[in-house]
Amino acid sequence: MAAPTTWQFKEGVTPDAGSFVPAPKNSGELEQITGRPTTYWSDAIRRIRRNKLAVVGFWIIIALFVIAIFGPMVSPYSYEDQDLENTFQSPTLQHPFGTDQLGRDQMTRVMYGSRISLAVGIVCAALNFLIGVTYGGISAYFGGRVDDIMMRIVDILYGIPTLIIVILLTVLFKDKGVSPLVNVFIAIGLTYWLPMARIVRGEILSLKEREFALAAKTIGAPNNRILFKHLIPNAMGPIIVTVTLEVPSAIFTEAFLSYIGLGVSAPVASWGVLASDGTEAIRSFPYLVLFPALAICLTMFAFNFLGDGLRDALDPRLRQ
Amino acid sequence: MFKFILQRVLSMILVILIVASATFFMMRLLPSGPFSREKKLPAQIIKNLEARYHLDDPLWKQYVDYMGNLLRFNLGPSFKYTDRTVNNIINDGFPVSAILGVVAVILAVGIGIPLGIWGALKQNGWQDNLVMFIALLGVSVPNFIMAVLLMFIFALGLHLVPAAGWGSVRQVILPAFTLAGYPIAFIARLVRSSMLEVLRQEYITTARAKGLSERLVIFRHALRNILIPVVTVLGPLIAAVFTGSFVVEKIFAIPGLGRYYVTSINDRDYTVILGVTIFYSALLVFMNFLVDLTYAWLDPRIRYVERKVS
Repeated sequence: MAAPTTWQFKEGVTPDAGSFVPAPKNSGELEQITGRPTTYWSDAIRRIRRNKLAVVGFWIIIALFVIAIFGPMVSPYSYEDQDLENTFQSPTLQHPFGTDQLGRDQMTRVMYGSRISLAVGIVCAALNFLIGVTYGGISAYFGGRVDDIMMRIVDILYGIPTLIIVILLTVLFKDKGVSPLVNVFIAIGLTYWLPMARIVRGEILSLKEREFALAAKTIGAPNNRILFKHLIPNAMGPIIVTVTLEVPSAIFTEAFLSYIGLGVSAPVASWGVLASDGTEAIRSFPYLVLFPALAICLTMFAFNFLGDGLRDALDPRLRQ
Repeated sequence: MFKFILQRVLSMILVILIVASATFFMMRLLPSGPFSREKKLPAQIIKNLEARYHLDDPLWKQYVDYMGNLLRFNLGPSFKYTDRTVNNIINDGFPVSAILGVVAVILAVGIGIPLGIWGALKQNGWQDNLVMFIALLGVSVPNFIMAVLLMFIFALGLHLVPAAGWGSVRQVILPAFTLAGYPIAFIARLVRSSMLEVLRQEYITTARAKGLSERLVIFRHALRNILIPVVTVLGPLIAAVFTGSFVVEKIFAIPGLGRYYVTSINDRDYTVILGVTIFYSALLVFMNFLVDLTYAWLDPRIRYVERKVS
């Protein structure tokens, strides 16, 4: 769309001094900025709204939270009530997802499982945020030898597959008598902050050279204030993206651990436990593994969609 | 180049030593000893067992002995299966896991790269959307679900391949595809985005301006620069294939190292956990080293620069 110009030529005439016509009287108004000025965040929200997959992911996550909170309350069954006369029921109106080998309502168990998975996701995101951001921030801000030592530690931990560290920690804490769910929280929380620390470090390294950081320093702001009030808020975009993408891998790890028998165990219904129990009976009762599997995949999809959308919207380096 | 290799080898040894020590002390921290069974053993028997495995030595001596044995690649006996050593277990299980892993990596590279290129060449078309969707699917479906799904469809439903077991070529197909699922998705995404970036570069325009065919431009000029990011992620992807094998080997009843590892964890067979953890870490660190070498060989700019970010 061509903007109306404030000066025009007579048609078919080569421009010279006499070919100008007076500008319309309202020409000044046309140059005024009409749209509201956008900020980084409103820009990001606008962009993410246009990304259909990300919006779908967002609503799935909201729905999951609602189901996780209210589902088990509304359900007429409890996740651990056994009904040995009605074991291995196919899906019916009474039991939409069927019942398992002890006659427990599978739908209630899947809904209860969403509580565990989302709790793992939230706690790990929070720990990830606390440890990773602080670690990366301190390492980058102080630089020099501090940075060298702190990043060497990260490098070494990076060299070992995360899952092996998580498994070792789980074994350690399990034998110390920590409850399985807390155990999974600790193990995942203690290991999944590594990518976050690296990303925050990279961001802070460049941010700390910027003028506003220098300005804060010249007026005598203490280090922790500069780091936490000035630098880290400016790195929020990549941080949020990393957290969103770490949540599905935390949820996956919990399900994986429960699946191989290291995480929470029966009667508590984690999706990993349900999938593991269902696999045993896959030949005769495939629906038992179907619903927890769908639940895990849907959750992972939703978080990955949202994370991807957020990355496109928040990470300026990827803007086209 | 020599200095680069030396530096990497030294840091490799350091990492393996740290992992070995940390795991050793962690295993010794565990409150329930290796001989705590459901039925309590008489004190004298426990004492004899501890003497046999030198568990009554002071901790520092146990540590020095273990490290000494480690240098001779001797990982000690299994506590659970008295007639087997950790070396036996690795010798039995690793070749199986290695075959599976190599097939999975080949599948990942062989399918992931063409998928990514295809997506990039048809950017924003339906083909691109399809590739991106497959990629998100592959990243989002956990490997144990993928295993169950593939087994259900192709083995129990269509009877195309055996459901489980090990020994024939047909039995490799399902577990290898399961393990390759995540890497395929990851590589396809990576290749797509780096291809898009490379195609905008000027030397590609030059190549086209010379009148080269599109095939030559893509395969001769663009592909080489795409291989570099793919090589860098091979390290983490190999790690994903290792850890994926823990559950895939269990589901498909494959006698590989991953399954032994999980069994040893559930059995609390500490020496096996310790030995196999060290083995896995050493293997992965070594793979990362090979990846770094390949990387330096592919991209001469990296070779002489100190590996230090800013």
